[in-house]
Amino acid sequence: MDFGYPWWLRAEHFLNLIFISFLIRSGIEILGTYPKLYRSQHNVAGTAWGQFTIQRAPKHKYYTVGGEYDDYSPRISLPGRGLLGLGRYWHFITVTGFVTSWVIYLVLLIVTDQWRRYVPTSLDTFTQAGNDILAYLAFTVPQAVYGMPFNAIQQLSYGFVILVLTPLVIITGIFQSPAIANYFSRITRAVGGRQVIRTIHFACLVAYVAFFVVHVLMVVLHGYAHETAKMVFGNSERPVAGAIVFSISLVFVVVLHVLATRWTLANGRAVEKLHNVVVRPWTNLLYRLPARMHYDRSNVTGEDVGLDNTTHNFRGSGRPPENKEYLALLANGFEDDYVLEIGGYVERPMSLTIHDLRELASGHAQTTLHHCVQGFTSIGQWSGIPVADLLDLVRPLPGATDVVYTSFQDMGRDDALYEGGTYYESNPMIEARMPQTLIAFELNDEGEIPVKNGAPARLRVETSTGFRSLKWLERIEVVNRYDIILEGRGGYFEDADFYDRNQLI
Amino acid sequence: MRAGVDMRGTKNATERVTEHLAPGRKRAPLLRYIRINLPRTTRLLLLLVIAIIAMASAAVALGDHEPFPYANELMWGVFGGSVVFVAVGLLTQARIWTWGLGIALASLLVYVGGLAGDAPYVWNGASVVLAATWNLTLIASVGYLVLYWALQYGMIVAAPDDQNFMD
Repeated sequence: MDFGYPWWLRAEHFLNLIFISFLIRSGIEILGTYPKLYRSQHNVAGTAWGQFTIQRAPKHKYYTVGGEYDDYSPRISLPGRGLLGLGRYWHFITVTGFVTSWVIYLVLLIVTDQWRRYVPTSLDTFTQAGNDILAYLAFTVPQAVYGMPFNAIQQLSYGFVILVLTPLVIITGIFQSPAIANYFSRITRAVGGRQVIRTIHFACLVAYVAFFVVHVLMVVLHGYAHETAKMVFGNSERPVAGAIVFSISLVFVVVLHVLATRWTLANGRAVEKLHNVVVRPWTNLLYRLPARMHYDRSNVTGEDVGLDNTTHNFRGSGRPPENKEYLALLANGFEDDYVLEIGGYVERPMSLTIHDLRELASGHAQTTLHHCVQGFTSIGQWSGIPVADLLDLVRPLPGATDVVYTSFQDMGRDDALYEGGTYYESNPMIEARMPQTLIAFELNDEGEIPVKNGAPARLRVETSTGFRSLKWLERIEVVNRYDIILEGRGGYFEDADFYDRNQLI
Repeated sequence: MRAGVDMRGTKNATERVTEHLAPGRKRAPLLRYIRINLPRTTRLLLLLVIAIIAMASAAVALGDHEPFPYANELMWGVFGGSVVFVAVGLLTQARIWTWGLGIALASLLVYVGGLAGDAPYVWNGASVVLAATWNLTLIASVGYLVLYWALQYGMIVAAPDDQNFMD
């Protein structure tokens, strides 16, 4: 068959130029907020295999993950300046287009028989690819295989990128989603855990960049005008015109990046709206995947560093409350003084002490993997009571839609990294009623939760990123609308920063 | 003291401390942000690159296309030095990377000498395999120089050294 360069292949090539460059820049933004890569999902201090920061390790006795970000230049990352939420928005907006176009491309390759241009149909292709490598090393240009649009090593390289690297980057990206990773918990564990998956995802980024460098070098080597004309007109009959049009399209891509960066830095909420239109329709489907993790006590973070008191190794994020009320409760050990109020739009408001919670929980515990939005992970065994059970006790009134949790923490007061007021979070009812959405009051069978991890009680939302698992829980309210609370976005970070309340990825 | 670092009373007990920032600048040069801590892999990689130089040099010296007078002797010299280098690198924990630099530079000098002489390129009558092997000495030598620079710059470390990450 005459393979040629059909229009849809050329369109895909151009779209990929946009998608992959946006994915790389926004991916670097995401990496920069936890610029460390590990081989173990416990993130044991000192075991990172790579760091991408110029910041020295803080020497506080206790430091939070919030201070570990590095703000890369907007010339490198999208949008730069350590704006994780907006980097995530761009990553997900772009990935929606990238995956859609890749699937369409795959279908078109199959139905038009064009898949043969990438998939070797004979072992000779590998022998020929070896010869082609030798030819390139000898500083000569190997010829295309008869009847094929390119030579054997090009065929294998393009085939690898399109049919191996791309699915790999998509799958490892999918498994960064807490909803998916915790639903398919056994697969997450089988491949080594979230940090290994994160490392592979990063390796895919390196592979794309390496491919891009070699690809551009080869285009120049084979003749810039000759090669780019194929990507513009489908043939190399008008090389000069092709080179001009292609060069203009490259300038267009650069302009697109500049505009996107400036727009994002100037009006993050507009990017959020775009994200909500493009991304939420498919991410909301993930509410159908309740977390179902099957870790056990032996998986708990801490044992591999040989410390007896393992709870000290469950990473903390956020600074504990420093108000008098909380400190007084802390001084008295919470047991007698702490009362969790559950009220709002319910039939039977309640006040429960730790003792009451323990009795109601009757030994219920779950061992789960924590997905920090920045990137760290820890595994802990949480004793507590499912929010669904509490809701059954207080009986939400008809029309109740959300559950709002309020913390003792005040971000402006307690954490120098942030501004603003009370930390709060909310769950839509479907999320609140998931089996592993929990009010926890004990960690790792070692008594009350340590202060850094949210004593005396905290929320665990195992289908979402860590900041939504509110710590230092003060009260719970069932409501029939959340959008009239403070800024109306459903949580502290949703209001004050650029994070999605429906954050399942 | 922890891992050789005094933890008491230092500036970053209370504030963010960054490295490699020029006065008045907010960000360091891009490559300063990259620090890879795979010491054993890096050590093996450095040895592998020198081994490639050794094998390629020997293969060219065994070929029938001497780039310039006494080039074969020089390439056998590179081969011999490389064999000793790889053996020392595998059998000891010595930091021998500057020796490797000498080998890579020597190999590079032979290549440059070939440019002035009759290098075994295809257009000079050499076979594709011989030309590829000859160019491999260039690519591997430049590769070693890049790795050596990255080592000096702190982007990578080779065993027995370590980045001493603490977080």
